[in-house]
Amino acid sequence: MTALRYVRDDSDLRVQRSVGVRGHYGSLGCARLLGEQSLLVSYMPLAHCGRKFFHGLARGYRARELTRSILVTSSHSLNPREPTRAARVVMPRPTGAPLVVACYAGRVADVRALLASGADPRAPSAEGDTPIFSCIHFGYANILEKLLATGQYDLVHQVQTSFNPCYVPPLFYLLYYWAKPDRPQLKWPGSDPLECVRLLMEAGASVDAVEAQRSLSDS
Amino acid sequence: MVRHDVFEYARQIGNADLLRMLEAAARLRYSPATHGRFPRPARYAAAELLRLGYQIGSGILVPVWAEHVIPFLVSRTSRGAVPTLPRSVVFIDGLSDEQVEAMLDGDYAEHATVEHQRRLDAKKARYVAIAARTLANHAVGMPMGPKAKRVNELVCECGGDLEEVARTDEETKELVREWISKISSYNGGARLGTDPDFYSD
Repeated sequence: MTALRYVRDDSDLRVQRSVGVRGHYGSLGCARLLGEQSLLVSYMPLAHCGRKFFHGLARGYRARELTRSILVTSSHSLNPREPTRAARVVMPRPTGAPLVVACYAGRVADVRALLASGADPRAPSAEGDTPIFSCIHFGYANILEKLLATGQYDLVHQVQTSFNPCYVPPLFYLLYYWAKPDRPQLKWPGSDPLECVRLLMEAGASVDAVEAQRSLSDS
Repeated sequence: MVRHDVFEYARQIGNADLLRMLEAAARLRYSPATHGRFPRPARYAAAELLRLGYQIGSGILVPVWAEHVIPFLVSRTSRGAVPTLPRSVVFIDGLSDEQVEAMLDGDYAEHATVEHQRRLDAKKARYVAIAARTLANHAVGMPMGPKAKRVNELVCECGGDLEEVARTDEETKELVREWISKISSYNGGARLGTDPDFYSD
């Protein structure tokens, strides 16, 4: 993997050719990078992302429609057969903070690379979503393990997130959605809610009942 | 106010393992015997309190402190100062080769050396795999010149150590250089077997 770095604007990206990826996800102008072997992983607002977008990334293209995203470059390839969940997920979509978006998209290698580069596992996205809730929402145990490996065990007591307005800790949030009969987000490939619970408990999550202003179902 | 109870949720889920895990956690009370079953931050909190007990007094006081006072002060959610390595060490496998090489002279040279060696071994294994695959293709009819065949055989014999292969003679050295440039352009050997140019001398 090449050195991970942040690209804050498009000025240093050299465009070889543009490839239009058109579909019901919208028109995405893609451009191939020159000059470096690495594959550009572009974390743009996921509202525009779909399977074709990630397939484009897997071939070494990136979307040109970057808004306020921070780009992350890394040379590891994305698996084109890996299904993207972005187009199917119905929940507030995080933007801005790469770690939150990587957690949301279930990309372990990106999470690991971002944490190694010093990304803050507590930092929320522009919408107020935190990395731990973004991965707990889908039951991504392998990502949760990476977040807790930073040694910041107070993450299991963190409650601040935009789609958790009743302010309950991650363990309660996970179990609430696990208990619901319709829980599609905990059936994605890679989702392991029981392992998530085990990791949260090992990190010291409280099992005492909590009282909140609102029910989670109100959110 | 709405009450959230994990046990209620666990009963709705109906997972026996989950319920057992939660009940075991709720029952857990601190004692020297149960120390190992506590979360890591709580264990460090208990250790800090034990050190405090030693500072207060020695002799009979310490066991009394450990068995009768600390259980009241430590719970599963207690948090002591857990020592952690820097992120660059914990997630060293997420760093680039250049970053790992830069760490070789730093404070965590030991970790960097292990990781550096692991990457070298992985690279060698990859070279051997590509050479073996090329030879296998040759065995089933893919044409290959004698020099290219010899280089691939040498790569396998030398365990993927290209420097050792290149040391054999000047002619081989040049071929190894070509071999490296070719497999690099194939991005991990993805196109290997489809490009006849790879097999020519």
